This record gives sequence, structure tokens and C-alpha cells, in this order.
Amino acid sequence: MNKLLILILLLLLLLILLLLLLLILLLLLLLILLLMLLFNPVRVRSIKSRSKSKSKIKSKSKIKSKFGVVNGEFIMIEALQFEFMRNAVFAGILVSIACGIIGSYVVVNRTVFISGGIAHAAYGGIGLGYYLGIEPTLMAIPFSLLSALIMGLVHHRTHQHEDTLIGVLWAIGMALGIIFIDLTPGYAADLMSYLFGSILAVPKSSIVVMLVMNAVIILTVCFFYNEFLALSFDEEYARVLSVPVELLYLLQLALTGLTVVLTMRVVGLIMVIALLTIPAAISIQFTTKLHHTMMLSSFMGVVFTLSGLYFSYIFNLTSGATIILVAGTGFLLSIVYKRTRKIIEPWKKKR
Amino acid sequence: MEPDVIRLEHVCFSYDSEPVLEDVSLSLERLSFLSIIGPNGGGKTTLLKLLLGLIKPTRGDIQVLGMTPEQGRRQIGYVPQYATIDPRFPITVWDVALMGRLGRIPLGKKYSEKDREIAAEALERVHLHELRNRQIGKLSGGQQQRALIARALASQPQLLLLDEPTAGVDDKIKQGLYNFLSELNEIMTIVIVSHDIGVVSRYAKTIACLNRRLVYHSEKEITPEMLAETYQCPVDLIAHGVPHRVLAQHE
Repeated sequence: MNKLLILILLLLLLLILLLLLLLILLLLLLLILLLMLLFNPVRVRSIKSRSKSKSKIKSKSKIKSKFGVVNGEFIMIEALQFEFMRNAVFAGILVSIACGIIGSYVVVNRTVFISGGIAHAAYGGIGLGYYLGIEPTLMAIPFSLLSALIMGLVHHRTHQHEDTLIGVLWAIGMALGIIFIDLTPGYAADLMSYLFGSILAVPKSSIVVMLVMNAVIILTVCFFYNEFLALSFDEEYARVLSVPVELLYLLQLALTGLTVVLTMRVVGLIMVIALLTIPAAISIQFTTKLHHTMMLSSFMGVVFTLSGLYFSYIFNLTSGATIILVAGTGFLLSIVYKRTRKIIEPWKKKR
Repeated sequence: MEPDVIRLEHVCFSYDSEPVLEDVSLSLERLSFLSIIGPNGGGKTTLLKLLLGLIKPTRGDIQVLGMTPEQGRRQIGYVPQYATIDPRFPITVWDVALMGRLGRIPLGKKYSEKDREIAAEALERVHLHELRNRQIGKLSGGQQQRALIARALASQPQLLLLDEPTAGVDDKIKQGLYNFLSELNEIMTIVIVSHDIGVVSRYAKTIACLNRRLVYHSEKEITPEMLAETYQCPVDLIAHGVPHRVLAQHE
């Protein structure tokens, strides 16, 4: 009997050690990948197929001839000398920060579905932007804000059938976008980039917009941090404290709308939810204060987007989907880690 | 003359057309200790929500400390059931206690040193100060309940409302909680909604039975007749988790 127990314990220990080893290996891999992101040779093929404009390729070959490096070690740095690559890195970082902060609220408030609704309703704005010849992202902002307002009010006032209504708005937004694009003469080739993201095609002007939006998000959250915390933790009690619950709730959703539009450029609206929720869902397991959750998820987001960007670059894959896959892998690993710790801890205590 | 802490006059409330409260009148003086008992669905939580101004009565008038509930609730410390806490929420006991100060500071303002002192004091009162940096979801049920009481105390209320504070808490902790409440009763009015009829009768000064209509008893003895009238169906009573000894235990 005793022997059996010892055997089981040993087996468990072995399993745990193996898992820990796996984790360390993965972390090492991630580190190496990050380093490679900085010091790896560019693959000409992937650059060619990824970059959208011919001028960029031209400028790239110019740089190549200037440095005279074909298979050199430091071409990833060279890649960073391309504006589109630098922009991609900046965009990834900015989006991760916004997603880390707002995503934490989305996860603790359980407004994942509403956020999805906002993202898809915003597609109507993109279509309208195309139709009117206005920058689509700019048109997406009022659409996402409006849908956030409607969904927020419905959520707050009725408390029933809200998921149905969110689903309806979700679909109507998408349909509107498609109809507007149908009405637009010519072929809207760029449209796919809003569905699946095109971090490599983010122009400098968008970076500036992202910076401003990030500033807005961070300042608002700093200002209302205590109120938001009370609202998320215990809405009824926040009401008892005479906090303007409905107003702040709508403000929070509006910020979610802004973040969604921001993120759309990077991973596409279909996958916005993933970047919004995965880093926060991981961080929430390892933090005990909400602002720590936000910081950790922002950091996680940066790791995921940059490593995803790197993978998509060397394997010539769609950047948005690759980022999400990397994030998803991170999420699974975090769960495995948490589970094994749950097994280890009582065992440790016994000793 | 000092206004009553609570004053309800012919209050009615109905969800849609379903009446929940009918013609409820009640007035409480300062430093009362009222226990409201009654079956589930009898309107106990609705009554608390009316007092907190979360919902409005269909008819009748409610005053809290001589003000409307919306104004008066700043003087109310409310303790909801701890079971409503999301165990994964990243928030420490300290943050929860400090939250009680939120109603006392202007929108967007940060907590002052004084707020922190008051929150620390509230945590010490419930003996949770050492655990202040722990995540609230990781605490035991009794500890979570105490943290919520600390949050209510941090707003320095004149009236403490507790919604079934002993649900799912073991007997020893229950005893401690009630002793603590009697102590608090020296400085504030307490209204408690509870299923624990047996224990409550030992600590509460007065009792009200609520099943759509409210019957106020100025003494704290619970008689089988009172229970029968309030619950109407004794079988239902046991099924809803009221300890059996309630029926046996009337001195």
C-alpha cells in the first residue's frame, strides 16, 4: 500500500518536472525567437509577398544593395529599417497596451460578447467609409461607439434578451458593411485587411491616431480607476455608493469600442476578441490587483504580437492569424501551468 | 427631534404586475437592531433595495434618516451576500475595504491618507488587517463576509444593512459574527435579513416577519404562530434551508 503511494507520488513528481521543463524550454524558445526577431536574416520572398506597395520593395532592394548583405546575420535589423516594419512593431506595441487595459475590463466584466458585437458592427462603418471615400477607420469609430451605446443601454435597462439583440446588431453591422462595399464602384481589395488584419500595412498616420487613442484610454482609466473598479467588482454596491454607474458603464464600453477599432488594423475584426481577451485571461490567473492584471496583459500582448509578427514574417503567414495562434498557445500553456501548480502545492504542504 | 433612521409609509412594490410588497409601514429609531425574517420570495431583498434607493416603490413613501433613499444611502453600510463575489476577480481585501470610501470622495478623486486610515481601521475591526493583501476570492466564506462588512464600515455608516450574512457560514463563525454585530449596535442601527431565526432571536432587539406584508414585533420572541403566519407552509420552510431546530427551539 505504502509502496503504491510512493510510486504514485514519484510518477506525479516526474510529470510535474517534465511539464516544468517543457515550460522552461518554451520560455527559452520565446526568448530565442525574440532575439531572432532582432538579428535574423530577411527572407526576400516573404517581404515581397507581404509588402503591399511596390515602392516599399524598391526601397528594400535599395537598402540591400547599399549594405551589400544577402545572407548576412543582421538583416532583421535591416527589416526594421523599413518603415512598414517599424510601423508594424509600433502598432503591435500600441495595440497591446490598449488591449491589455481594456481587455482586463472586458474579462472581469464578462462583456466579451458585447465587445464582439461592437467589433462586427464597426464593419458597417468601414463599408460606409469606402462608399463615401472617407478613411474607413475613421468611419468605424462612430459606428463602434453607436453600437456600444445601444448595446450598453440594452444591457443595463432590460436585462433580458440582450444576447439576442447583440447578435442582431452584430449581423446588421456586417451586412451593412458588405452592402456599402457592393455599392462602391471598383474592387475593394483592401477590405480583407479589415477582416483579417494587416499589421504590415499600417501607415504612419495610423500610428499617430493609435498614439492619441492610447493616451485617451490611459488617461480615462487613470482618472476613473477607483470608480471602474467598484463598478466591475460589484455594480450594485457602486450604485449604493452613488457612483454614476450607467454613465461610467457606457464610458467603459465606448473605450472598448475605440480599442476594437484600433485593434482591427492589426489582427482584423474577426480576431479582435482574441487579442482583447487572451492576454487578460492569462494575467488574471497570476495577479491579485486589477492594475497589475492590466500591466501584465499589456506586456503579454506585446510578447504575443511581436513574436506572432516574427513567425508570420519567417513562415510567410497571415500576420493577424499567427499572432492569435501564438496568443492561444500562451493561454493553453498558462492553464497547464496553473493546473500543475494546483497539484504540486498540496503535495509541498504535506512535506 | 431626531428623524427616524428608517421610515416606510404604506409602501407597495410590484415587479410588472406581481405584487412583492403590500402596504408595508415601519419606523426604526436610532440604535435599533431589527431582524427581518420570512420565506424566499417574501420580499426581503426587495425591501433592502428600496431602502438603498436601487428601486423605487410603486406607491408609498420611504425616508432614510429624514432624506430620500438616494441621499440617505450615503449613510448606509450595505453588506450583500458574499456568494455574489466572483472568486477570480483580481482584487485584494484592501481594495475592497477602501472601496467603501468611494461614496465619500468626489468623482475621479484619489483616496486620501485619511481614507486609508479609516479603511485600515475597518479591517482591524473585522480582524482581517493581516490578510489585507490577499485576493478576496481566495479567502474562506466567513472571511469574505467580514471583508464586505469592513467595506460597509469604511463608509462610516449610521445604519448597517445585512443581507443573509450567515448563509453558508458555519456555526462558530456565525456566533462570532453576531457577537460582533451586537458590539457594533452600540454605535449604529442594524437591520439584518436572515434565515437564522434561532440565532437571530438571541441578538436582535426586534423582529419583523415579511411575506409580502410586514408584521413588526416589538419583542424578539419568535412564536410558532408568528412563523406559521409568515411562512404559511412549514414544509416549505424546512426545504428552504431554515434549520430544523427553529421549530423545536422556542423557549
